[in-house]
Amino acid sequence: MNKKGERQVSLVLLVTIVAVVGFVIILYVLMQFIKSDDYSDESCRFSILTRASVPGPAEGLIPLKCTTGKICLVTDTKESCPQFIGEENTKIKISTSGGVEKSAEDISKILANSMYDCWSMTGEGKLSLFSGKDPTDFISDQFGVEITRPICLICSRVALSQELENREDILQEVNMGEYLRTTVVPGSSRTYLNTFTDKQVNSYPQAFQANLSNQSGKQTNEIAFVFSQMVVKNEAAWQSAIQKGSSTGIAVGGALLTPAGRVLGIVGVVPNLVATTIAAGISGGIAYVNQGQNLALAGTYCGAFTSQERETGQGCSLITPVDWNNKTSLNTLCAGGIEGTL
Amino acid sequence: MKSKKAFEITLNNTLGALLAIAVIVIFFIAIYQVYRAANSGDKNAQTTLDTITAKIEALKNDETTTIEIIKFNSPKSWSLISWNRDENRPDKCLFENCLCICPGTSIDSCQNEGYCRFFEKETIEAITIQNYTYIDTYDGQEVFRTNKIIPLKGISINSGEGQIIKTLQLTKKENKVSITIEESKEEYSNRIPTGGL
Repeated sequence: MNKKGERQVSLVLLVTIVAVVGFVIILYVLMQFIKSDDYSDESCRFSILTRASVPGPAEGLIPLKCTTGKICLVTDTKESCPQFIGEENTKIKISTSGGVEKSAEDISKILANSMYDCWSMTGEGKLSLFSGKDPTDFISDQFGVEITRPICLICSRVALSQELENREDILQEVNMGEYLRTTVVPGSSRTYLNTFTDKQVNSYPQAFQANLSNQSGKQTNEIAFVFSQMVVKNEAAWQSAIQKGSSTGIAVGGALLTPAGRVLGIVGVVPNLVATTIAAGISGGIAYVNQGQNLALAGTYCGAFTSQERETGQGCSLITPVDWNNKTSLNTLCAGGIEGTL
Repeated sequence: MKSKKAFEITLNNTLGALLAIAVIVIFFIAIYQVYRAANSGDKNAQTTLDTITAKIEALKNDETTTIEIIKFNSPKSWSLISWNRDENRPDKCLFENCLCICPGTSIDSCQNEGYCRFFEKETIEAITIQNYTYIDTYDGQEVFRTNKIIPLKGISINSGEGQIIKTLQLTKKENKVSITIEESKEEYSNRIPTGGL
């Protein structure tokens, strides 16, 4: 190689090394910034965006600085939620002076906003947050087994005070599904349902409506809004994983809806309808999530994850309400672990 | 010609220096990661203990609350153990009642590798309630069945396949704090009945 060629090779090497060193230093600085004890929403959002922007193996270096928000719904400010004793929580008073329907709508509004905040905070499910490999993944890969265990982030918990829990007249009127269908997201021209489904859905499928009249829901005094993500290598793998459902914790049933009169919606199983949402895939959708014997409404995204500059694998993300008292459901839905701070 | 040669020398030197810096930086990051991985279990254990302690301190008499514990990765099997003044206990508890998180259930494991928090007024009881149906048979026939409840000293924090999240119940009565978790018999894992230590 002549001198000119050597110099060119050296220059390429120099640029490469500068780029690598620069990246490592920037990553280190970001890590230090994120490692501060700030667990605010902004810090959480920043850590999510940072993690989604780095290559998969480096994701593990970026901790998610997210703390589960705790909302206590009360009918009087003197009331409290016993499960939040000793923990920072936000009390929201549900006024009972405007009638039962108004109170129920207020509860629906808080639930819908919590779900929307979780959806928005996690990049509408389109960002890859958990594709970093851990040793168990490595071992599994050696045997050609695809990893399909979903990992969770618990965005928020909404609990009822004892007094509100006893107001069955109000709780019977709560209909989150209908609220999502008919109410416009604040600051937007689209309904929650429309927003969660990328403008695809304006109303729930007819097949689903039939289940509403035959609902056998359960009540709970606490709901958690959970972001759950399953990362796989290719489209066939995640479609297969979703269809198997029970083994992954993400069994999605077609459309959705929470039954009227229940704080947490739970309807009969509709295991096959999902396929239409999923197969069309690569887009936002809305679905039921299997939670033990129950189903709950979920905002979904299945397909390729993206960042600003690159594709970061494939998989499925869900944002769904979960009965917080049913740990079996949580353990299944979050079989790969839970990140963030409770 | 002279300036061209100088450029080559500078380029080579810079290249070498940057390469050295890159190797050093990557080396330190690798060391840091190994250190962090080795200590993350201990750090998570301490965080868990601090969270439980904060809940206990906020609890008033006759109140009950719950706390969720997320399973964390650690080569050690951590347990929550209470040691009160009236029992044989680790020296590090000094003259106080204490609640410890230890990589085992013995006094030694708490003394040597555990982390403890002290309580002056409250006595603490951390137990696992194992509830299962006992079936007695005679000549192959089932003669009676009864629900057995076995209290086990200590609560396993990061064991149990598939148990990503566990709920502990905290109750305070007359300055006695009970921390309990219910487990099925299948979840039993080398635990010692209360009185067995």
